[in-house]
Amino acid sequence: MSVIKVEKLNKDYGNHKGVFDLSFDIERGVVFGFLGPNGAGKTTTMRHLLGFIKGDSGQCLINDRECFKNAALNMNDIGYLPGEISFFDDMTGNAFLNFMGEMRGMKKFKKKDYLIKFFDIDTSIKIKKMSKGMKQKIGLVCAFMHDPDILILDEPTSGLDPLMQNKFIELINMEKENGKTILMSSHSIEEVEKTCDKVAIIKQGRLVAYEDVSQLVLNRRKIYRIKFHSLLEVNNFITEKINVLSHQDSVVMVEVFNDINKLIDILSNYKIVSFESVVMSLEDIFMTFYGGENSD
Amino acid sequence: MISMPLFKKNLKSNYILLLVFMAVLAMYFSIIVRIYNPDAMSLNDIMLQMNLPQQMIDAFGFSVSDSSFSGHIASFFYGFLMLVFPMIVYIIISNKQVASMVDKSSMAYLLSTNNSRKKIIVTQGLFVMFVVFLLVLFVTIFGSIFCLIMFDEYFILSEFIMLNVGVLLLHLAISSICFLSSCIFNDTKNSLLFGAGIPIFFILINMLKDVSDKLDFLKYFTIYTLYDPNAWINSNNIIGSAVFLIVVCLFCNGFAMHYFINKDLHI
Repeated sequence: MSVIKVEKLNKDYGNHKGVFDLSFDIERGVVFGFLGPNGAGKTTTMRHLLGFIKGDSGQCLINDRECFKNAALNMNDIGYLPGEISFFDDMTGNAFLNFMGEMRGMKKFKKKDYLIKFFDIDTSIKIKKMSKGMKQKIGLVCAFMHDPDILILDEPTSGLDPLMQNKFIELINMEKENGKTILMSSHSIEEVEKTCDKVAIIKQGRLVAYEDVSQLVLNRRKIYRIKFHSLLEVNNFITEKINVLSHQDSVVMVEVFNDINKLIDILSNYKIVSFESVVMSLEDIFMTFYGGENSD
Repeated sequence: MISMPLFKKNLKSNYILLLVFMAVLAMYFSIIVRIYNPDAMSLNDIMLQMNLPQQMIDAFGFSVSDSSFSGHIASFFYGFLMLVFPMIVYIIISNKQVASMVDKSSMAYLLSTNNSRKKIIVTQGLFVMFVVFLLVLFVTIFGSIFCLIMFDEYFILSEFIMLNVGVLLLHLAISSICFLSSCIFNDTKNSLLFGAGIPIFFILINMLKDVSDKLDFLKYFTIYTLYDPNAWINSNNIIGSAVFLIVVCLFCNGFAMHYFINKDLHI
């Protein structure tokens, strides 16, 4: 049964902004990654699901309830992390979380306390004095503390340091085990790989890809930057049976599909200075994934 | 019907502002009362002796025909000070209640709880009305006690209460315009442009119309015409304006809430 359902949703802000003919649905217990560049319509879609805005046509359903009219009812089951962090500045972290708890009529605060410990937050500080990462953590606690069945998270790891990003991934996997349905938007393919079951790519308000993450990982193209010890070695290396994209001085860029072992075997015969993978943009990844068919 | 945690939070984040303005009102009220001298000539004459131009005295509503104690308070306190200070408070608070929260996206947190938009906006709107009520109530109670101590023999409680009932209705009506502006616009800038602009425009017109008889027609362009302090003392011809002020208050608040409940929120 789909928990979240978007059907032919249209919202035109003009100038190619908005969402157009967007349809997808998310089954119970699925972690759904929503990828796309800035301004692609991820947040707009989420706002529809939360009932903040009404579509021009089409519909959004959560648990088979229309989202705008039933927003308050739906919120019983939803935890939301907004993309823009802005709370009530004059409150301390703890006062804010307690206030949100009261607003929701929460009785049990066990999960709140657990999460505060989990993310290692000092909640006695005034929110306006907090760093971006700390605010983000407060936002995460706020979204998860009432133990909702559905989580809608808008760029949940922005502002978090790598350690906390890992903590976040741990939390998502924990919630997944508890059967929660999660929709999260992201810029980072790594993050999506580590947490999501399904992924949708949105570009200029249109769905351009919809895949199982396992498929994505399998067919993933990776690029490595290898720095060799001498130019001689570079000259030898580029004659190997490997897909060299470019080389300049002692640095070589190599493309690898699926099997990295071959590259490692070959490299064992060379003296190298450094070996690093190149972070690829989403667009790059999906262009290769779809063989460049949507490379407008 | 309303969200108590939200109401309490509103109170918490605004109580300092309220206390400051209550203190200011109390201070001005005591000064105005203390300069009352039942035996002296009218204060208008005193001010003229101070070489203040008559037009300026008129603009601030300080020209008095009624030399009774109630008339004195009506002209000097309810002619300008009691119009302006509460107005500043609810201009600030109205903007904070909705537009500023939408502007800063913190409204998203309120709406991500299981409270309907209706409940949230009714709470926010009632808080503005509560603030108006509180300020007028404070002045009524403080004023009554202060006057009883200072000028027991001249003070007529019923007249003073009527004066405050009138100003309450006036402020409820004007604050509803501020609240409407806050609900319609999604940013502080535009919310204040109208929410502060319209009341300030009204009060400027109100001052201007008293300067000269030739500008008397301006009274049709300001809501303050509906509150004539001296008329309220005598309960003279007040039903019409009272009804009109109540209608403005109900209409603006009703429309504001309806608009907010149905609008797109980019938060």
